[in-house]
Amino acid sequence: MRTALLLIPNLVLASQLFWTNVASAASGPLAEGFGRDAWLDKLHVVGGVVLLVAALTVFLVLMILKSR
Amino acid sequence: MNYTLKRFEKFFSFESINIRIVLLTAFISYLLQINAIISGEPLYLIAFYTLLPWIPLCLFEGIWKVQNYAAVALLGLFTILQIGHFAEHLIQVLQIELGNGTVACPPPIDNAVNAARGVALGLRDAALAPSFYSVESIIKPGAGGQPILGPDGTLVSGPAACAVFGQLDLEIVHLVWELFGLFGTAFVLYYFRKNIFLWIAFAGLCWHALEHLTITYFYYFDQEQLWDGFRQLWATYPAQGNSYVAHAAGQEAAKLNFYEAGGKFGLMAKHGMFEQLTGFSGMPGRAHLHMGYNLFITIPTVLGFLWEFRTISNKYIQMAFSGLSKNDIAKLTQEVRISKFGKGDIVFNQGDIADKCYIISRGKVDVIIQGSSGSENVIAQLGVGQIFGEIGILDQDNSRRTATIRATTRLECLEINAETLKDLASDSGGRFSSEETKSQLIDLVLERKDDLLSKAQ
Repeated sequence: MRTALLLIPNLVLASQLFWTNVASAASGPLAEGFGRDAWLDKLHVVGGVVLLVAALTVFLVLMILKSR
Repeated sequence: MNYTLKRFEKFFSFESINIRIVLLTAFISYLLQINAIISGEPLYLIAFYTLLPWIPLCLFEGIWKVQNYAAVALLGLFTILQIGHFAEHLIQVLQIELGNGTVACPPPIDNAVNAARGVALGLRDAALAPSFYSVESIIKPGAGGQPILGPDGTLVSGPAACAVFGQLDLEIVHLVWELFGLFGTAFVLYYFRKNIFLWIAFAGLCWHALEHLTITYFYYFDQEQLWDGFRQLWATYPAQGNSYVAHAAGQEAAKLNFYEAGGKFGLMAKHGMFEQLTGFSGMPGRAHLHMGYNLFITIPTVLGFLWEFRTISNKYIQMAFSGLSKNDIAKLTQEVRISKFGKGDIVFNQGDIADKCYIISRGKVDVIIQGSSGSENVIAQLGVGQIFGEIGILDQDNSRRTATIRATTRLECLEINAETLKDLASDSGGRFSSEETKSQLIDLVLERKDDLLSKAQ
């Protein structure tokens, strides 16, 4: 069981190396037509992630300050 | 200054591992490195083979350090990882700025498709099979995905600007590494909640997590291909040894999803959400921005670690001498030596001259006294955090060992020499000044002497 727990994340990472056709991170110009409207359509996603990170931060801060 | 250097020397050395094993590992690492260089392996593989033998050693040493130095050791581990992480980002930016690097990460691979293009362009022999190595160099693409020509008419080439381990330049790796740093820093903050530097690093990590969670969400969960764009094509061929080059070979029209079209730049980088929504156009590129984020996180992490490192102390010394001040425990930590014994080993015999005492950091011992008839009597068992060997040093009537000590399990101890122990028990203003420790030691000696006398009868 322990071995599986150690192996699984490594296998997931290793499998990514074979996705050779996936667009490279952070390279190339913007696609045609991609701009302000594209981001406005995704504001709900960004908002959701902001809320998630805010909640996580509050949780972590509370755990840090919890008395021993 | 002397103590600071001593602390650094001690902490950043292999305290729990035999020097012969360290030397053997260094030799193996050197051999692997030389072999990789002679075999013409690319830089990332040379680095990998060099580091590989050190991994188990550092793992065991790291576990030992956490067992002995507790949260400071964990903080040290995170600091080293953050420095390594920052170094990767810095190398990427240097590759871009100084080396004509091309950001194509992870680097193109010499696979069947790319190799076939290499053959079609006359760049490689058709008989040469694809190697599946990642390329080290890239012939820079310009308009239409074709190679750029420099002022002298030659092709412009540079490194694949993906730092050393570019194969790990994947969104999931960025996210996992970032969250590991975030939760890890929160964990050590639990122990060092007054450390303002760590709080600053934590704030930086929270913002960085926001960036990567957003980018990774789009990467995995938003696959609708709504934008017209292109994908860069590469033709790969061998340069030297196992080092490969990716030659810009045009573009293919493609429908792109949100991430590919522009979501990959994230929130604050050039072409990212902030620029798109506000019209501002002065933000740094993603590689530069994320190097900046990591700098903002790494510097306070390093400062936070150095702050706590001033009073790094061994937790077993804290257990044995609870009356000492934090500074005195930190000083004493620098003076102890580690000694190890196997199961059944005799640490010292009854009647030996007493020149040091021990604090048990792992394992157990039997305290044995020999009767006049030669029979052995186990009169006590001692475990982690307990001290032994002190009577012969502190008892003014007797400077010899009053009992035999035998390890009943694998044993690890912190050795304190006689001079330091006498200093701890002194009332004439020695290096360690604690009335409580002095009384603690004197009481212990008296108690154990009485115990010995009663059990010897």
